[in-house]
Amino acid sequence: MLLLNLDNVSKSTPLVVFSHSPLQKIYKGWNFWTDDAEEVQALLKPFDKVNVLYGHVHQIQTNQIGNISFNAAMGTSWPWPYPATYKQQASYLPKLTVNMNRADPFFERDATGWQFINMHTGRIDVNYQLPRNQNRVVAWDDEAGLPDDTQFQDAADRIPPQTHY
Amino acid sequence: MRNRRTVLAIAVVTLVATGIVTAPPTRADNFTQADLDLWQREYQTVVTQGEKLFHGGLGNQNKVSCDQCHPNAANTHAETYPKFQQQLGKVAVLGEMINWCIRNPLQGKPLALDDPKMIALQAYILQERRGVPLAPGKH
Repeated sequence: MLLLNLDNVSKSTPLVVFSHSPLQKIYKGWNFWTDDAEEVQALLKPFDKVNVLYGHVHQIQTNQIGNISFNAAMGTSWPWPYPATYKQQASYLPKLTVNMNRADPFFERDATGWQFINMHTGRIDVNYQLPRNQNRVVAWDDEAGLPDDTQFQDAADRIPPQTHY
Repeated sequence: MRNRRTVLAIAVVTLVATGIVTAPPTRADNFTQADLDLWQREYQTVVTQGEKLFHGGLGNQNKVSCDQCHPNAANTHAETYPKFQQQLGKVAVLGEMINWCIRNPLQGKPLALDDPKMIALQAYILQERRGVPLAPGKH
């Protein structure tokens, strides 16, 4: 179905794909996973600018695979840890993602949030609204050719992993 | 004198013959492979009980379970307890934080710290956090 829908679309048309599932393989143990991710990515490969917005993981995640940018959405219900916090299994969240602060369990809205998405340029800039926490912007970096955290990408600028405890 | 010496010699011979003198001292922590296997089985049984409790086995009415926020006990930071828990206003052990979760998101009844369910929950959590360096007090 996806292939048919894209047949008549010019390759220079920016694509925005909304998907609950990440459309990439991050960590199978928690189903941060799409079994046929490679197949979907192959369908999107011929297009110049492809943006995937996905849910499921309840946290800031960013990735770039070829021409495809990936940005995750926050949860509105409860926080979910990053796969790397489980020490017994390997996971594949790329290093370009700057992890969110760890959630404060005593504040029910912590590590949840909303995002405003700017797709004016054909690339995606995501403005994360994080209650009682510093808001974050993950925007397309034209020089680097990938989306990254505009403020905290530099390790020296990162805020501590938690501010609430 | 001769009689005394004779008695002493007989006594020594008797002790050696019965093995009392030459046998190695008995150790308090003597154990066999069979003991180790048994203890490991007992431990794993409790870990498995804890895993079930952690995945919706606590019987709380709202059906919220520990694994919803802590898959594989991630973000439990068991290795950092005891530590000062600002929100509790004191140095707390892991069990007290587990009880906070049971009372609040799970809306259930807290467990006694020596309740077998509490021990099982901690066994499961620590089993999943094995190999992580101990960091008591760390934030």
